[in-house]
Amino acid sequence: MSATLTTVEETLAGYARLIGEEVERRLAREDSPYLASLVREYPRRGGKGMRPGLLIATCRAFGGPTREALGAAVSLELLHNAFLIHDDFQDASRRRRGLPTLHELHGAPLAINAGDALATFALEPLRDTSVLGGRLARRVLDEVLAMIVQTTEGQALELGWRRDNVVALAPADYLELVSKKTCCYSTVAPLRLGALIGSRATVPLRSLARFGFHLGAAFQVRDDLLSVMGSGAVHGKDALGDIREGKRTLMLLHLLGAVDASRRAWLVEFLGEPEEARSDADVALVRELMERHGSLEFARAYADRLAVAADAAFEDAFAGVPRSEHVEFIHALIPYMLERTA
Amino acid sequence: MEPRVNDDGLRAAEAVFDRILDGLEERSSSPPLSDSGQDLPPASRVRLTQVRSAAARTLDLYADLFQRAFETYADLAQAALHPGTDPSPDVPLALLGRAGEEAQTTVWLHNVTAARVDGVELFMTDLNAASGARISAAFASFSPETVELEPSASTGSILRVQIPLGAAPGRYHGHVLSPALPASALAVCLVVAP
Repeated sequence: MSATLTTVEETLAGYARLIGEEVERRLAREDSPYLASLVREYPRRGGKGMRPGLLIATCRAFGGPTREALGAAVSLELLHNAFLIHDDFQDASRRRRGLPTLHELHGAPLAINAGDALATFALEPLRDTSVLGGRLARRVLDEVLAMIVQTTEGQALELGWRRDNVVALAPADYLELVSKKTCCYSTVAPLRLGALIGSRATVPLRSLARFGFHLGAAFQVRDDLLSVMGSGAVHGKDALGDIREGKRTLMLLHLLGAVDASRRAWLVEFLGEPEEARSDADVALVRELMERHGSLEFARAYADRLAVAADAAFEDAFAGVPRSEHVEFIHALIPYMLERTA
Repeated sequence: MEPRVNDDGLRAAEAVFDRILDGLEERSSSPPLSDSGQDLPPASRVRLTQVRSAAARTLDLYADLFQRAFETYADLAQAALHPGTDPSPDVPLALLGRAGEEAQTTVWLHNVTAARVDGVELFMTDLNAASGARISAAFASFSPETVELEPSASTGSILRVQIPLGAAPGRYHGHVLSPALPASALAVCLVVAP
């Protein structure tokens, strides 16, 4: 593990602890036996803390204190956990952060309800105007609502492609999907919200968003690669889960374009089957084909190019910002996206 | 498809990012700030950013102070225009007596508006004890039953409760209500002594 990766992970762990305590405090009042433990389940398993970490670090880079960024950071973290609960059910995933998914533990009806509740609790910190004032709090809320719309549009796109077995897709389609589904709430929103709060809405946000898209896309490609490379014990999800679920990853799109006609027909048929009908052997074969046809290498190269572009976008986005440990941390997230193993 | 990424792939990515960013900014209703200052050297841009941020914080502070002052004024005006919307007192009106006696107290009404208010009718709900015992509203009366209030004036109506002979000792709870004040309910607590 490189020194950069270690430093980034330590910083992220600090942010994750801070947000974990705040999330716990905000969810403490819940005492329904069918809701309280469910809404706390995923947050207590601990995440990487990337979203709140990036938001707070950006706020501090632009001169704002952590206290001012905390509400928006908690909001994003709760939304992330709400999305995960519904996402796991929609994907029929069995494991999340190394443990059974919420619907596996409590059944789909209660899990879906807990996801609804978390999404609502996520908006509560944004109602408080005592820290940011009415004008800025309203802009923060607008940003979060716009981000939710984009994220759900992205999720709908992915679910629709899988339902209709859409395979005529190019890398640009994949990027459209991940930009909406992942980048908007994982990197773009934290950067924009952090800058909005830290600068009191006095800096342009577009260049930060462009950096966020590159960073987030590199993050997602790496996530896709980890799903087919690492063991389930390392990344905490189902081993080869993305292939089993028929997710339109960059590797899959590359493979569809790289295999011969008969193999492609088999692959399209495999993707058209219900998920439970996909055998372990077939899933393993798709994984092997990805290796054989250079799909994994293609995705790695794509992530590398995105990281190079992210570096240039970072310089543009933070050109007018005083150098600080927070700016350095944000910059170090670029190699982290490529090197992380979980 | 080759296992390598060419510049076209990246340009396609840029186009996608820009398109989605347009949609995001349109929906967030956060107009992108003009990039004034982007042509300045980095050191000047840093200073400009800091000055803008400090000025914005000061403006926010004044805006919030103004907003809170305005909201307080609006709340007061609202209470004056619609007296029924202000909260009722937290402490219940107390009555004390034994079975067979009459308990009484005065209910005060305050007209905080600048208009005369006519025909404010008062009535009492049933009084209930935790044990399940009940004293019917029929045992309660107001004198006068209907009150008129001049602008900014106050007046009282005497609430009398004839405690039934068989009423069990204990605390009985009820409310004074008025059709003219649908948002208000004045709590009443009658203690029937042993």
